[in-house]
Amino acid sequence: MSSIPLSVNGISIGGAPITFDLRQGEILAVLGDNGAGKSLLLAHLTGHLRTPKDAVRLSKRELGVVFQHHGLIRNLTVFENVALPFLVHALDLDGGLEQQVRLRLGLVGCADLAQEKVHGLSEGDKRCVALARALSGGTRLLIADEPAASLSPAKKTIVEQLLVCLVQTGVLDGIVLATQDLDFAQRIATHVLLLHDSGHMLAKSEDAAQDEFFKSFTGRVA
Amino acid sequence: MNTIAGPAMPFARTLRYSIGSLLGAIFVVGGRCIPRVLTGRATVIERETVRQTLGFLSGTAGSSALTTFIYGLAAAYGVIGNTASPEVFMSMVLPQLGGAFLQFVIPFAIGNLVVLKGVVGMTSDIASMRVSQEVDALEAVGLHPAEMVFAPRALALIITAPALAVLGVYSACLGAWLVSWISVGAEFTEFIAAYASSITSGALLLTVAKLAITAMAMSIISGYFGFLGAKAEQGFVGKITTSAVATAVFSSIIVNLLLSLLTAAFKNG
Repeated sequence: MSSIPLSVNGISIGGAPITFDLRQGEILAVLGDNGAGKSLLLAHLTGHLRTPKDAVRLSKRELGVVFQHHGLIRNLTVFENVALPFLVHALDLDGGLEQQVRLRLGLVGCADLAQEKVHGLSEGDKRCVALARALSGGTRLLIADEPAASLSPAKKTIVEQLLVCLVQTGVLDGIVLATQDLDFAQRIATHVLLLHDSGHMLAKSEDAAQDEFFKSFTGRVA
Repeated sequence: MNTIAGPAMPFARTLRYSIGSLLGAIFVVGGRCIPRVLTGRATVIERETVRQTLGFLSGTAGSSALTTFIYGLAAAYGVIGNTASPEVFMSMVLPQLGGAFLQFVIPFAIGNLVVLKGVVGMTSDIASMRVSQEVDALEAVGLHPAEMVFAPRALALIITAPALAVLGVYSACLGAWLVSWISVGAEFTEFIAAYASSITSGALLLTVAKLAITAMAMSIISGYFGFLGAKAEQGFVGKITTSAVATAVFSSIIVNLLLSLLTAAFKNG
C-alpha cells in the first residue's frame, strides 16, 4: 500500500469541509474561482493558519512552499534566497552548498541569475526562483500557489516537466498546487479539487474531465 | 482520495507576535550577534544585523550631524545675544553649554531622527514584507520573522542612536563655535576646552542609555504595528506606518519625560 505524505481532515473552506489523503506520487491541483479559498486551503496545509488538531497530518516535516506573491527576501540575492532553507536547517550537503543551489536554479532555468538581486528579476523569473527555493532544504512535499503564473510558455514547460519528473522519480512524495490554469492542471495533476460555493469536488483528473460540475467550471473560466 | 465531513474552524495565524516575543528576539539576536560576528560564524541573521546597522548609520549620520550643527548655531546665537558681554559668555555660559546640549538638545534631536527615519523605515519594511509574503516565506523555511526581519532593524536602531548622540554633541559644538567665533572671536581650542568641561562621562553615559532605551521603545512600536497592523488591504502599508509614527512621536515624548524624571530622582536622592 502506498504511503500518505499528506492527510487533510475537515478543513472548512467556504463553509464546506475538505478531506483528502494525498498518496505517494500524486499531484493534486486545487482549482476554483477568484476568492474560492485556494490560497486559504494552502495556508492551512503549510501551517501558516491554525487548524484543529489532526486536521492536517504530514508524514514528513520537509515541506517546500511556493507563495502566490513569491515571497523572495528582497535584501538577499537569488543565490542566498535559494540557499536559505539549507542554511537554516544546517544541512550536511553532498557536493556543497553552491553546487546544490546551482543545481536547483538550473532545474528551473535560472542558473545565470544566481548573483542577481531579487528586485531586478521579472515576475516569471521570481516565480521560478521561488520554486527553486521551495525545492531546497530536503523538501519532500511541495505546496505551490500558482506555480505557473507569469511564466513564458518555454518556462511553463520546464516547470511542468520538472514537477512531474520530481514526483515520478520519488524525489518528491507529492505536490499540492493551486492554479487557475486548467490546461496546466490537466497536464500534470493526478487529481483535481474544485472549490465552489455550492460544494467542493474531488476527483481523478481523467474522471473530472467528464464531470458536469467540472465542465461547467471550465466552461465558465475558459 | 476520498471526502468526509469535518468541523468548521476560524482562520487564525499559527505564529503569534507579542511585545514579549519582539523583546525576546532583540535579546536573543543581540546576545549571539557579537560573538558570532567576531568568531566568523555569523549566520544570515547576524549578517543582516550588521548590514542594517551600517545602512542606518550611513543613512542618518549626515542628517544627524547637520541637524545638531544647526541646533548648535541657533542655540549659541540665542545665548550670545542674551548675554551681557563676551567675557561673561566665555567664562560663565559656555562651560554649561556642552552639558546642556548633551542632556536636553541631543536626545530630542536624535530621538526625532530615530522616530522619523527608524520608525517609518522599519514599519513600512515589515508591513510591505507581509504583503509580499516574505514574512510567510521566512516562517516556511523555519526562520522566525521576528528574528530575521525585526531584530536586525531594532538592533541597528539601538546601536546607532547612541552613536549618533556622540556625533551630535560634537557637531553641535562646531555650530556653536562658528557663531561664537563670528560674534565674539572665540578661539577654537579655548572654546572646545570650555564647552567640553561640562560633558562628563556620567552625563554622556546617561544620554547614550536614554537614547538606547528610546530606540528600543520605538523599535517595539514599529514591530508591533508592522506585524500586527491592519489586515492586508489596499494602501495598508501607508496606513500602518502613519499610525506607528503617530504612536512613536507620542511615546518618545513620554519615554523621554519618564527617563528625565528618573535621572533627576536618581541625582537628587
